[in-house]
Amino acid sequence: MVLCDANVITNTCKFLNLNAPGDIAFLPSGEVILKTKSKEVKGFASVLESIIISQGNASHLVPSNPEELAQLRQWLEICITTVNFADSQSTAIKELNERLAKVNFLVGNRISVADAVLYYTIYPVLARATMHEKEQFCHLSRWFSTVQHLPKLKAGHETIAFSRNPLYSN
Amino acid sequence: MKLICVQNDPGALKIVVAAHYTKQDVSITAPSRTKKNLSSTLVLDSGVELFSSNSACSYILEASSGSNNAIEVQEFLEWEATKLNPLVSSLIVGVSNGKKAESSEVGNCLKQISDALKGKPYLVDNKLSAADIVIWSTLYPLVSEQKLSKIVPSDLSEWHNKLSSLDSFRAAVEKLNPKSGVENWASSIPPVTIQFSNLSIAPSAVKSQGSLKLPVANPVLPVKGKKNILITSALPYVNNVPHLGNIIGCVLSADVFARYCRARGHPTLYISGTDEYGTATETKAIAEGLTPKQICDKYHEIHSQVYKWFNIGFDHFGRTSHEHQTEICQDLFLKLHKRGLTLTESMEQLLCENCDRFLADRFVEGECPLCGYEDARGDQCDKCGKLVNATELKNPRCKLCQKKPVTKESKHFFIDLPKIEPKLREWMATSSPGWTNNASVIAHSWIKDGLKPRCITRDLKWGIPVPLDGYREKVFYVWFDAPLGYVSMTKTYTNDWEKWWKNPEEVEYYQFMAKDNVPFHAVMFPSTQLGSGDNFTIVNHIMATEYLNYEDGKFSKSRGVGVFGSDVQDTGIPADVWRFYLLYVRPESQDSSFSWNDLMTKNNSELLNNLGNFINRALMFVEKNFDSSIPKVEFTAEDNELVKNINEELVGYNEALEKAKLRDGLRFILAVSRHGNQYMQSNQPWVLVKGNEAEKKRAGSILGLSANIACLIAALLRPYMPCTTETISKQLQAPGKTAFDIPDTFSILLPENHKIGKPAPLFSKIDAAQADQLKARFAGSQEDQAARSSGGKPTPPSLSGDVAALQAAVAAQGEKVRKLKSETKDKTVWQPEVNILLDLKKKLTEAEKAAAAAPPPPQASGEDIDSLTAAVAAQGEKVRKLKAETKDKNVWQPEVQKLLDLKKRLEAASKNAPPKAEAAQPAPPASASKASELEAAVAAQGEVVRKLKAETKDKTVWQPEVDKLLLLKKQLAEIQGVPATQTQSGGKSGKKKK
Repeated sequence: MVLCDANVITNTCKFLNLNAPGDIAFLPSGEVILKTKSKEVKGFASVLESIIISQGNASHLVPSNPEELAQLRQWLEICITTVNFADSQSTAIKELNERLAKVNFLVGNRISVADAVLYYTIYPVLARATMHEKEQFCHLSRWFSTVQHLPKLKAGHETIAFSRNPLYSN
Repeated sequence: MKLICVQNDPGALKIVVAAHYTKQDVSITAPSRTKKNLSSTLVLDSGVELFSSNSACSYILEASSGSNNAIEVQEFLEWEATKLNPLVSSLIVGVSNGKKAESSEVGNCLKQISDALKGKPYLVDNKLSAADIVIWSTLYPLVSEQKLSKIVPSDLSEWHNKLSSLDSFRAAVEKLNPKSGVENWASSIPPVTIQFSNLSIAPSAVKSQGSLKLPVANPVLPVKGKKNILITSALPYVNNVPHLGNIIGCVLSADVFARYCRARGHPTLYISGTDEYGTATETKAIAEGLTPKQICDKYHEIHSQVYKWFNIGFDHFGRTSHEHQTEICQDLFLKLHKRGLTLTESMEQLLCENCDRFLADRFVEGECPLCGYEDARGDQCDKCGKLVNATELKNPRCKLCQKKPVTKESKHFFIDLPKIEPKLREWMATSSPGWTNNASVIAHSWIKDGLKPRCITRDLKWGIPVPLDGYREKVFYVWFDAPLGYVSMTKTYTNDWEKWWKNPEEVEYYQFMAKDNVPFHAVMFPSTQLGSGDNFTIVNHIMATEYLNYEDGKFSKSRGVGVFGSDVQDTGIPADVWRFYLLYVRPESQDSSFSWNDLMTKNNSELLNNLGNFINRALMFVEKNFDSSIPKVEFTAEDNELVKNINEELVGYNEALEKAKLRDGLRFILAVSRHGNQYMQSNQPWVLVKGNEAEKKRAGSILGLSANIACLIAALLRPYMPCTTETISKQLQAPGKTAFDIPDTFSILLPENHKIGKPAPLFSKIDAAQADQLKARFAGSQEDQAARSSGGKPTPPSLSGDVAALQAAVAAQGEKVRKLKSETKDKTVWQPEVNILLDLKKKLTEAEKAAAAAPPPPQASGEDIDSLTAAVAAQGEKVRKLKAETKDKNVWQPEVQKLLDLKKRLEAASKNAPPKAEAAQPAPPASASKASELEAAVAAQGEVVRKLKAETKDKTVWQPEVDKLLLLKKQLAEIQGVPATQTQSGGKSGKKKK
C-alpha cells in the first residue's frame, strides 16, 4: 500500500467542509482519478489541487496568492514523491524530517490544507512508529504534535504520543 | 530571485527557462557543501524557499501572467514528478555505471509524450506552458547525450529541438552551461530520487510493513536434502539491561553455533527477540512512570544495542508485542481449547474497582491477619515474617490508589497437561538424547511424578487477550506466549515461516538457554505444540548452560551485581575479546566464574602470546623476506607430521561444534596455533632465511605452510571472533569468501605467489593495573559503583558479617518465593522454598539477638520512649529500603509520613517522660527562629546519616556524622526547653554516652 490514498482525499475534503466535486476512483495502476461531469483529473496531487481550487479562496485554509499556491504544490509533490513510500523506505521519513527542520507550518504562518494533507498521509506511519523511531525524526514529530491538536483536523484520529524528553542516547 | 543549484540539474533548467521566458532576472549560486544532496531551491524575494523545481517553474509563469496553470498542466507536472523524472534519473545513473541505455519503462513514458504531442506543437492547449518547460528540461540530458539519445523517438526529439531553438530556452542553456557527459548528469541527481524510482513504477505493488523497517529481501529458507538448522535463544526479558551471564547463556552461545552452521554451508536461521509481556513489565512501567509499551520500546532498543555491540548475528531480532504474536498465540490456544485440552477453574482474587484491575500479590497491602501489622504486603508480612495470602489480609488496600479492593472469583484457563503427557513422554524419549545433560535431568525430574494442569491465564492488562467471550479481560501467562515468540518472530521475518516451523522432517531445531528456562522449553512449549495437533517443528536439541558467577558471587539483575551489557562497551576491551573470554569460561557442564584477572591472563597468554603471535610472526616474515608473496610449500616428513596433528585438532573442533560444545571448540583452535608456534620455534625460519639457497627455500616453505595455517585459524575463529577473522582475512588478502568456510581437513588455500596485505598485531595487552582498575570499578552493586564514581569511599567489609549475610539470604529467598508465587498457584511448588525462608528468618532473629546482647544494654528511663525509638528506627529502615528500591515517590511517601509522625510522637514523649518535664520552661520566643534553623539542620544531618548508613555498614564511616547529629539534636532540645541532662538520661543519646 502506498500512503497517498483515497482516505487522505476524503479526510481533506471533510477538513475543508467540502464534498468532492465528483467520484473518486482508482485505476488498476494504483492512480487516483476524480471524475466530474465535464472531465477526469488523474493523479493524487492534481485531484487534490482541483478540489482545493473549487473551494475558491474564501477560506484561510487555502492559498490566497501565487506564492502560497506554489508552496502548497511543493508539499503535495513531497507527499507523492517521498512520503508516499514512508511505510516501506525509512529514507523517505528522513528526507521529510529534513524538509521540516525550519518549518512551523507548511505554508505561511498558519495551519492550512497543506498541513492537513501531510497529516493524513503520514498518520498511519507515525501511529505504528516506536518511541525510538519518533525520537529520531524530531522535526517531523515536532510539527506533527503541533498540528494534531487541531480538533477539526483530528476528526476521529487518535492522538499520537510523543515524548518531550529524549529517552534514547542517539 | 535567487536560485541555488548545481550545474547539471535539469530542475534548475526548468526554473531558468521560465525566468527567461517571463523576462525576469534570477541569480545563480552553488549550494553549500552540506546541502549538495538536496534538489535545486529557488529563494523568492520574500524569503520563501521553493524546493520543488516544478512548483517554482509554475510560480514564475503564474506570477507573471496572473492566471493559474490549467489542471491538465498540473497533471503533466505530477506525472513528471512521480514517473518520468525518477525513471530518467535512474536510467542516467545506470548508464553512468556502465549499463546499457535500455529501459522499457522510460520508453513507455517517452511514447506517452509523443502521443500527447501528436499533431500539436505543445502539450496543452496549443500554447507553451509549464508542462512543456518541465518535460523539455527533464528530457534535456537524454536528447543531448549521444549515449542516451537513441532511445528518444524521432518525433519527440524534433519537438525538443524546436523548443531548444527558442530564445528563452537557448539563453537558459547558455546561462547554466551544463557539462556534457552522462556522469556529470548522474552526479547532480539526489540519491533519494533513485531510491524511489523502482517504487514509482508500480506503486500498488509496494506492500505495507508493520514498521519503518525494510522487508528482508532474501530470507533464509530450508533447502530440501540439506541440513537445515533452526536456532533460537531464550528470549531475554525486557525489563532490564542484560548482564554477561545472560549474554553467554543464550544469545552469544546461539550466535557462535549459528555462525558455525553458516560457515559449514548449512541453511541456518537464527531468531531471537525480547520477551515483553507480564507483570514485571507493568511494575517496571509504574516505577518509571511510563506505559508498558514505552518501557518495552526503551528496553528493546537497549537490548538491540548491546547485542549489536557484541556482534550477535541474528537473522531477526523481534519482539513479542508484535501483532503476529497475538495471532499465533490465540490461534494455538483455540486449537488446544477445541481439542478439549483446556480446563477452567475459579480462583479468589482481589479486584481493585477503582483501578479496574485484579491485583497481583505485590500490588496489595493490608493488615496482617496474624500479628495485626498494618503494612503487610500481599504475599508476606514484614513484621512477623509470616507468609500470607492476599485474600486473607484485613482491610486490604490497593498499593496504587490506596482504595479497598473487593474479593472476586476469577475463572482461569488451565492447560490439561496430564492429557498431553503420553505424547510428551514419547517425544521426549526420542528427542532428549540430543540434549545437554542438565536439560535432560531437569526435564525428566519434571515429568517423573506426572504432570499437573497448569494455569495459563492471568488477570493483567499488558499481555495477549484471551480470545473467548467471558475471558476477554484476561491475558495469557507470559510463559505460555513467550516461546511462541520464536514462531511469530519468524513470521515477521518471512511469510514462508511455515517452511521452518511446520517441517519437522527437514528442519533440525536447536534451542539455547540457561538451565532455569529448561522446564518451559522441555515441557510447556512442546506440550502446547503437541497438543495443537499441527505438525510443528519441535525442538531436537536443548542446549542449556549452567550459571556464570561474577568473581566470587552471583550476577544479579535485580541487585545490580556484576558487569552489564551496557557497561562492557566502556571498558576499552574489544567485543571480540569479550566474546572469546565469555566462551572460554562458558558454563558448559558446571557453574563457572567470570574474573577480571582471568580475563587479563587469557587475553595475554592465549590471544596475544599464542594465537596473535603465531599469525603475526608468520605474516611479518612473509612480508619482510619474501616481498609479501607466499613462497612455495614443499612438504617434508616433519610438515606432514604437523598437518596430521592439525587435522586431528580440526576433527575434534568439528565434533565439538556439531554438538555445540563451544568451550571445547575454542580449545582446539588454540591447540592448532600452539602446534604452529612449536613448528616455527623448532625450525627457526629467521635463521634459515639468512643461510644458503636450500636453507632459504626451506624457510620459504615453512612460512608458506604457516601462512596457510593462519588462514585455517581465521576460518576456525569465524564463529567465535568474527571481527578478528575479518582482520586476518584483510591481512592475508585471502581469495574469495570460501577460504573462510570451515573445512574437514587442512588444505593449501593460499597458493604460491599469492600476495598478502599489510600484517599488523591482532590483539593488545591488558595489564594488571587495568584489570585491577576494572575490578574495582565493577565491585559491589551498581549503587555502590555509582557512589564510588561520585567520590565516595570504597565499601569496607561488613563488621557484623553474620547478621548481614543472613539478612541478604532472607532477602534473596524472599524474592525467590515471591517470584514462585507469582508464577504458580501450586502450593507444592513453593512450599519447600517458603520453609527455607522461614528457617532463615528464625536464624536471623537468633543472630540479631546474639548481636544485640553483645553491646551494653540500653539504659531505659521510660518504656514509652524506648519502644518509640525502636519504632522510629524500624520505620526509618523501611523507608530507606523503599527509597533504594524505587524512585516512585507515591510508593514511599506514605511511609515517610509515618516516620515523621513517629518522630513527632517520640519528641513529645521525650519531653513529657522525665518527671521534671512539667517544670520545663516553654521556649522563649526569641529563640524560636533559632529553633527552626536547628530543626532544618537536624533534618539535613539526618539525611546525611541515613544515606551513609544505607551505603555502608562500616560504623567508623558514619559514626562521626551520627555524633554531629546527636549534638544538633541536643542543642535543639535545649532551645525547645528540655534540659540537656534529661535528654541525655533517656532516649537515644543516653545509649551512646554509656
